[in-house]
Amino acid sequence: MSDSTVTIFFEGRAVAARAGTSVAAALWEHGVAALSHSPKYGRPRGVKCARGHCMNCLMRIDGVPNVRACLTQVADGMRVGRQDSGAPYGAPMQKVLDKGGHLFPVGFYYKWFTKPSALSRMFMSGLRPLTGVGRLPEPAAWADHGDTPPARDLGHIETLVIGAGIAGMGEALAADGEVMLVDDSLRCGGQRRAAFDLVTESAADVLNGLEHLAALRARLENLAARVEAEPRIEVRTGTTVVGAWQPDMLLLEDSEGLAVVRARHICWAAGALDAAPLFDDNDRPGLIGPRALYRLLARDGLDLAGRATLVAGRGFDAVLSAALLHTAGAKVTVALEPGRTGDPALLATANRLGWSLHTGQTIAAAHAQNDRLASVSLASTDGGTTEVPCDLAVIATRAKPAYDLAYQLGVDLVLDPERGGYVPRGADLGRLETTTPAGVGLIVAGEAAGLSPEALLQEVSA
Amino acid sequence: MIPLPSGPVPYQADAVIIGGGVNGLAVAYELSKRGVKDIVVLEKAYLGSGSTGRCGGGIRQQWTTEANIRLAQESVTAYENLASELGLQTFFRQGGYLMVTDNEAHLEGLRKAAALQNRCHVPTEYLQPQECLKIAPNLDITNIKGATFCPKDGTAYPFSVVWGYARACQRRGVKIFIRTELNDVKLEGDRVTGVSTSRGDIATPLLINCAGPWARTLAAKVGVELPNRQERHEIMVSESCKPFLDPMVISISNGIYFSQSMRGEIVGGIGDPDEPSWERPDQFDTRSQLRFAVRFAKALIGYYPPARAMRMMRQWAGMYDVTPDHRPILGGVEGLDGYQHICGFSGHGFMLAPMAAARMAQMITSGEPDEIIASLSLARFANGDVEADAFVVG
Amino acid sequence: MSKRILCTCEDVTVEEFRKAHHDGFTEMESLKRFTGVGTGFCQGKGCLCEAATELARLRGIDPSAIPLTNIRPPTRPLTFGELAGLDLPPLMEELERTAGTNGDAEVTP
Repeated sequence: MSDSTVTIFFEGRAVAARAGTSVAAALWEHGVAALSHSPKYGRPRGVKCARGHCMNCLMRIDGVPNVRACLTQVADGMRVGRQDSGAPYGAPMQKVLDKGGHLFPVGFYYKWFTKPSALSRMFMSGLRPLTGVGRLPEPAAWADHGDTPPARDLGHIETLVIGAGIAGMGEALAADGEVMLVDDSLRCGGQRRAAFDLVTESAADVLNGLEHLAALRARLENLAARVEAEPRIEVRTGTTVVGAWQPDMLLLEDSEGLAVVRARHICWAAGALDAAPLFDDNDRPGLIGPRALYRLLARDGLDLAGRATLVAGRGFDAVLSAALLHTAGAKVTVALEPGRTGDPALLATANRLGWSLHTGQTIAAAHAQNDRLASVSLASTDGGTTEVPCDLAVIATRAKPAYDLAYQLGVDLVLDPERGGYVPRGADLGRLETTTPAGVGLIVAGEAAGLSPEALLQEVSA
Repeated sequence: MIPLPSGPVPYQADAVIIGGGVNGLAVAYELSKRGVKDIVVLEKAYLGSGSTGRCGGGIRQQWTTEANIRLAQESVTAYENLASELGLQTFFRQGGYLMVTDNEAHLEGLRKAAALQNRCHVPTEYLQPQECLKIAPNLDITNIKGATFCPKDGTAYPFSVVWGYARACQRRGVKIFIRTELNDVKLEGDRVTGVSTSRGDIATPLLINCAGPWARTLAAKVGVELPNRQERHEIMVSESCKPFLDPMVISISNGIYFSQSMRGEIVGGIGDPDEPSWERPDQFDTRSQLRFAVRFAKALIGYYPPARAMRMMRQWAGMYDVTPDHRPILGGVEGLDGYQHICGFSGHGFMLAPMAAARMAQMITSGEPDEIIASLSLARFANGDVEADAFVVG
Repeated sequence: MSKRILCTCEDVTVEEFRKAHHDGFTEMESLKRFTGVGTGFCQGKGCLCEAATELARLRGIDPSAIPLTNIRPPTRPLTFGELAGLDLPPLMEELERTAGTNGDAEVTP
């Protein structure tokens, strides 16, 4: 992360931002948590996945609509603005929709004013201006661009491994022949290794006593060192797989654009996606998952010094999140899910570092003030509730195995909420190996195969 | 809407309709309106899962044969009143169709077609390239040589049309069975007497084949050979933006069509001269092709350069049930009682459904012959009485 | 007003999803199209598991019995400019010869 600063213009106002950070992080530090407003109810939405998956951070940037502020690095003179959802009737009408939700039942736009035909036509013409998010790109973004730059063709390779976390690095080392290992984070070792990098020597005591985290870190470092030293493995970081069409062909996207690659063996080890638990006002700006926290801290250098933060959930991602927040200088409250109370090392760490620790708690509701998170209500198993004031809450419940590309590669997926979501049928041991009808060797491994982070950790310890 | 069936099909019905797409549901509705009592619609997956739910939702009157123009014209009138008739919005929006070409050789055909359409009282205008910009701002007219525009053409949302017909059917007592497959058709001599399904047998004097790309297979069960072929066609949607494009833009020189939906997305497709076609359902391949995405993107930017900075969200494919003259097959078959076709729409089933259903229902219930249905009978292929339309796009 | 949002892209609450199910949309395929769940910018990454789990609860069946709806390519939105850049003659010839993988259970028997 560079120390130099750039100036971006947020809705006409100059905002100083650290070079190298994302627009989303820069605005959050500047006090702007609501990056967009939701399409129907006009609810404020803030950065959530920090990975370009969701639409929470779609903004108009340099005249282009629907740009993901979480993936866009700030640049000097950049123009950034929120998009006018609800225009032309605007926010007042959306407030009515939000407050009077019961008056606008689901699918009301199918059912209302169908008769007579003239009224139906009027309703449709009145509805149309409300549809859509963002306005057309400015001519500077598309006019006079000449020929489209050609994509790259990376040819045929033996093995492609998608995801350079523990599972992916292990599969890359175990594969025969040449391997291309791709990951959308900026380091081999994936987002957790990048997150551990934040725990520098001066802050290393945060991990004292948390042996499982230390073991995970050691395992990541060891695998990454072996992968980086292995000449037959080509590591491509900052690279996202954006789709599979043909039996053996995938499309990659990196800072240079699109590239096509074909592989005889494909391993899907893309880990998991942060969960989206359902509680009241679960969409408030400032509610994120641990994976988003890792990216915001490691990639964007988000400044959280002095902020009140809450980590709610379970597992080592909850503990790692708390450790990172502590390292970043935030005030930390940890709320563990019911049945997740028994780790004396965590209790000792919380005591030692001054974290406020609640056990047997689930999130009941989030509360916002001025379009950003103000507090979170926790409900305990005995029926009591606690309200924890916080600027940022990290929800570390059971993550969802990444599944979209596995589906496109032809893996048979089955819904298993106990394992977080869609998992490959038959991957009971956290790994699936098969051959597609087109003869492509396919492996699904790690969290993408339904392995819980805890089980992954047990494998690490073993 | 139509919940999953909880029991067997009825043991008898006055009519059994195969296919829960727009045509099957529309004819069920029109028959019930004309007093047919016990109607059963069978759908093997979910409503609209075949071709209807995969189509672009376009409804146009710009054709080059008088019969096609008249069919489409009646359907547009039906669509103008369909939401009110069915009690559900169809999202029908008359943004017009702007039909462009890059090819000088097409201009004479466009002019002639516009003149023919005008004679049929379709308000089509012939436009110079420059005039297209008034209809579709930001259009790149560099290569466009000429265009026609009909402001009364438009688009609707296929699923809401399907649901609207299904709800209206339900209110009239039509029984709709989703997730129910047809196994066989029972024949006695030269007449249909019933069907057997995955949820039991139904005795019926009337079977209507609205099975879209599966129509050929169904016809074979009653010994009728259809000349249809099934072609894969792909389509895609973009991210959503505030309204920027009113008409459907359609090019007769490269086969692209695109419009902006009532959700703000660009919806469009492009024909592929190398698209495979099949005769048997077990050969159908509706998987997405990267080749389509690339060809569409290139053609779209060619006509609509702002799209360069806009994003494609997803693509999918559906099957066209294509006849040799690209016109539907309606009506029965000489020498076989109790069997009717509403199929072979060749990619235009959604736009023609209301008209085809009303005319078919009228003919079936009144017993009176219908001139248009007669001109679209299966027999026309054997008689050599075939007039193809020049404006087959997508 | 406080809301439990099931699908953030399309602004669908848990209650609205339940209401649509009550209206007779009993399968993910029709629920998805009627409510918009899973059809927004995230293409279901944020809500598909949650919606299908909720549907299993509403129908009182095991979640494994809820079929997965199609996940169509691409897995991330791509600009038409980028896609047009794939128009490389040898690649387009190759694409003509090869079949797709993105199976479509509802139509392919």
